[in-house]
Amino acid sequence: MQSLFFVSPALVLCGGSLAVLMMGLWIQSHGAWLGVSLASLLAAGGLFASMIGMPAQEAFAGMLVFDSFGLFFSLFAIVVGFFVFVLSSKSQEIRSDRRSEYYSIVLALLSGLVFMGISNHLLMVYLAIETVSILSYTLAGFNRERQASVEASLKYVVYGSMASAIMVFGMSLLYGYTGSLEITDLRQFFTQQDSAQIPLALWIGVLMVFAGIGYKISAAPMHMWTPDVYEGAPTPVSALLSVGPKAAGFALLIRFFVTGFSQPIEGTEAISQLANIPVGFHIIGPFDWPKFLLVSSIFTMFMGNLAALGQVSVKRILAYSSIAHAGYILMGASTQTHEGIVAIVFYLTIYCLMNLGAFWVASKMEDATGGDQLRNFKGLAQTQPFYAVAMAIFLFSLIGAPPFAGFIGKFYLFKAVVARELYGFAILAAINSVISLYYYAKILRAIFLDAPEMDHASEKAKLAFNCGVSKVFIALLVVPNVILGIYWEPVFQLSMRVVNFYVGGQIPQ
Amino acid sequence: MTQNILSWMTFFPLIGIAAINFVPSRQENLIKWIAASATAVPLALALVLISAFDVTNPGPQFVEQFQWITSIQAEYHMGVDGLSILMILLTAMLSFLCIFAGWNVKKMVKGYFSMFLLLHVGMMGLFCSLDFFLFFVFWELMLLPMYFLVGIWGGEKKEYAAIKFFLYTMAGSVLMLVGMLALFFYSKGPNGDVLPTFNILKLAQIDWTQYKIVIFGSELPFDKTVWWLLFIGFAVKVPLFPFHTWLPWAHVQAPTAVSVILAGVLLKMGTYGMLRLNFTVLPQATEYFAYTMAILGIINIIYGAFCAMAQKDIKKLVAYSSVSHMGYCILGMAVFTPAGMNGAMLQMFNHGLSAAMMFMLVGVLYDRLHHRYIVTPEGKLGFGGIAQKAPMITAVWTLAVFAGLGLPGLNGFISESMVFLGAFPVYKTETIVASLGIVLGAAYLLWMVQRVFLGPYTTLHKDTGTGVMHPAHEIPEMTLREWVVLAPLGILCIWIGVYPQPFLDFMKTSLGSIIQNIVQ
Repeated sequence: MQSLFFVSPALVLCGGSLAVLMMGLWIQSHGAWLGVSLASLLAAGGLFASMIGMPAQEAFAGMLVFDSFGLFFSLFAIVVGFFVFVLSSKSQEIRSDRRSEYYSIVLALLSGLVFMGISNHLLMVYLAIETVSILSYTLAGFNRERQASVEASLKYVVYGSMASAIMVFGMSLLYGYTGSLEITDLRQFFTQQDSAQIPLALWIGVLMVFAGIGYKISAAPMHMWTPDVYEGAPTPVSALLSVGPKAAGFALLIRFFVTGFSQPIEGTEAISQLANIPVGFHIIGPFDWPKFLLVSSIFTMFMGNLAALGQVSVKRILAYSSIAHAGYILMGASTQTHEGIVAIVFYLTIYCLMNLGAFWVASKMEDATGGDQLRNFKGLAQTQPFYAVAMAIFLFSLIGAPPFAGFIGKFYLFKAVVARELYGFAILAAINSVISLYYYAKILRAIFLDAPEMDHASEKAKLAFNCGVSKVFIALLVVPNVILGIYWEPVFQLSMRVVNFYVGGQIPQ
Repeated sequence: MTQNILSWMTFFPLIGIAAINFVPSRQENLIKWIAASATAVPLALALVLISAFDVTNPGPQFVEQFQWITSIQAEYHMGVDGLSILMILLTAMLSFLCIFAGWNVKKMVKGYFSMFLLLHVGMMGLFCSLDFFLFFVFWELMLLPMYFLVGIWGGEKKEYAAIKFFLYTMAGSVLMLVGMLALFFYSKGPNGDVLPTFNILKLAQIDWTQYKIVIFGSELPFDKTVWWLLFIGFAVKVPLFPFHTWLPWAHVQAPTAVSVILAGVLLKMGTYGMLRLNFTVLPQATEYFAYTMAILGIINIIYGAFCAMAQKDIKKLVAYSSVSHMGYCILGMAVFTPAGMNGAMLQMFNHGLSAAMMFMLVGVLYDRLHHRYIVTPEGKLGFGGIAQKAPMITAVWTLAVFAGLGLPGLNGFISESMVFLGAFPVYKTETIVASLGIVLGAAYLLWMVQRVFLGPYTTLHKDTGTGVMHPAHEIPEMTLREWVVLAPLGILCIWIGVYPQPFLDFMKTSLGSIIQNIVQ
């Protein structure tokens, strides 16, 4: 029963999803669809909120775990979902007669995200990732009249199924050697054996699982699908894909490595009672995991940033920027410290705020001018100062310039890297920050420095821009971007508290 | 108010920004006057600060300190000492005057003055902060308004200039960020038993030579490596050769008031940062690299002067003269003698006055003739004989030029000769080479005066619509607004030239303690 209570939010989401789908057949009312969707979101959020403070435990015989880390990312998915729902309801890219299906799919996808955060069993992991992936393919191709959208969907399917296949293969290797798919069991297996005795095939299995997760977080070289999908998919979908699955993917990555393969470093004690992972830990393996993660993080950063330089589509720029940000975040994972993981959680929170905002403005532009190219943005400052200033704040935050939240997020990631004395990598990452400045500034330049090229005052544009709800929600995203740049202590403390894993009864000291 | 005087001074313009954005865009004059009063208050406070400043105290005064972010021990720590007091005066004064220099802005007036006031917050905060994290936040805060001020209200190539400035400064500051974090972590002490800190005063008490740092497998001495990380960040801002190429673009393309702030205040942040962090926190490494700094300074002096001499655009000439003049600061700082250091510090202030005057005067000419060509692209003289039509403009120009090139009786002479006096006993040959800069300075500035103001009257006027140049019949004299802007600067130039002691008194105690630290 207890287990059922823990999954009740996800069940509520699934129920909402089915309800909205059914309603689409009989009730032709957008308001009702949206109302039911938001209600089920709120209910799920409420149920999760009621679980705050409960002791960490496993459910369904170790298939799922409920700890503060999983809870945080579940709530994270719900909040992202809420913003995406409001954004979608105001976007004209999604045809009104298909909205019930759309809402239904998004709700189901959110339930997949929730499971990604709380799975403790590789089978659950696989199911959750597949739920999210398959629904993402549908969403990416939702405008099936638009060729780009269909192309995005197909590309996504091809890459996605390849990645899943690799991951499943890796899991089968793990199962073959260890006899279990539970991550906490893997931990038992790995910590009790001499790592030299563990056959290499097992590590290849781990690597394959990493590749599968890496595809979800769009780490290079598994990033190829990202720009095409973000560009082709309807903008609200791109917004969802750029924060939701990415955050859930990172949650999974961290859980997989920290609870599966880590061992505390001798002599480092737990940082506090709340956080039962030690100050420093060591990922077991025959090769240098931190080096491997660092190199993949630096590679991802360079890939994303360099490829973004020549783009002219804002959604594509944001896609490459999201790849680059995945690189920054991976940097935190490579540090193998509590500090690094806290930095990741903190960064993901801020990243969600700034990226959702940037996509929101892009969605408005798409609706108003029928495109997301840089020339569509030209002169926005003169015609729509509100959106221009908001976009500038999101972009400055993405650049990582004080006094905006993005800087603070990046600061903690850098801090974690420098604390491990990885100065060379810190400098490489710093150089990446500078490269990224150029393409963000290209958008700024179009908005503020150039004269308008497209008609920002047509009937269509007026309809898109004069949207009170969008303005309120964009403002809701702008405010924390500014406030968290000046005083972020509470949010940081929250990130410290949630980095707390269930590791199967034994707490490493 | 007297208790939190530094906070008021720093953040008062924010109230101005808020007020400006509540005024309807039509009421441009009201917006301008709000901006003027939002900078007048910090100026008044700066004057209060000057009068209450204790010149015998080498440590920080008017300190405000409280915990800001406890998880990283970042403090809100503001204070003023001999290094910053003159810079604060300069910032407050130039910002106030520049509001009037930018009075005839037409495009997006609200945005312009909001950005200008935000820039003011960044500059003032930087000079007041004694916490490295706070310092860094203010340092980066200036990028945002500068990008827009150059990019929106600049000249023909504004986009290129803005992004170039942005990229260069950002590149420097991310290195500084890494250096800052390194200092933070090593401030834990060898046993890790001290809470790490960003407090510059505490960082200065640590002996950094005991640590080593590993970058990509090679072990390097900690203090020297971090010294470079910080130094490059500041060198971009000074700008030191070879990081100077953003400067001619940014200065030339920026609107007049922004060029003034750039030359008058922003360049000083580079040298101020070196004094505040490299010199104070890492004295051993500073001593080790002193010769390198001196050579870089001399390259700046000579190279900047030659570049200035070759320019056909009067604003570019003034921009390169800044490169040259900032070289004196670096040379003076690199010798650690009282005369050299005091001279360098005074040169920072003096250059703030004379470069500001020159940029404003370029603006005066540009407003009347709509071009800046000493020699036009067709090879004709763009100006010539202005003295016949506008003797007052010529007179003020000449004053600024002589202040810049170091005529005895004006401010430049005092600081430049102090720099050379200080440098000569330490680096003899090098100082002799550097003194060539004085001659070159006189050459390019006087040659410019000759071509622009003297000789037969050949001044051209550029039609803003068609871009055609034709002879200018009239050159209106200085307006009251221009007098208001230029007169205080001119008076200060003469004052420092005749009686510099009060200004030197402000800094000598603080500089004395820095020199003592390094020489020990």
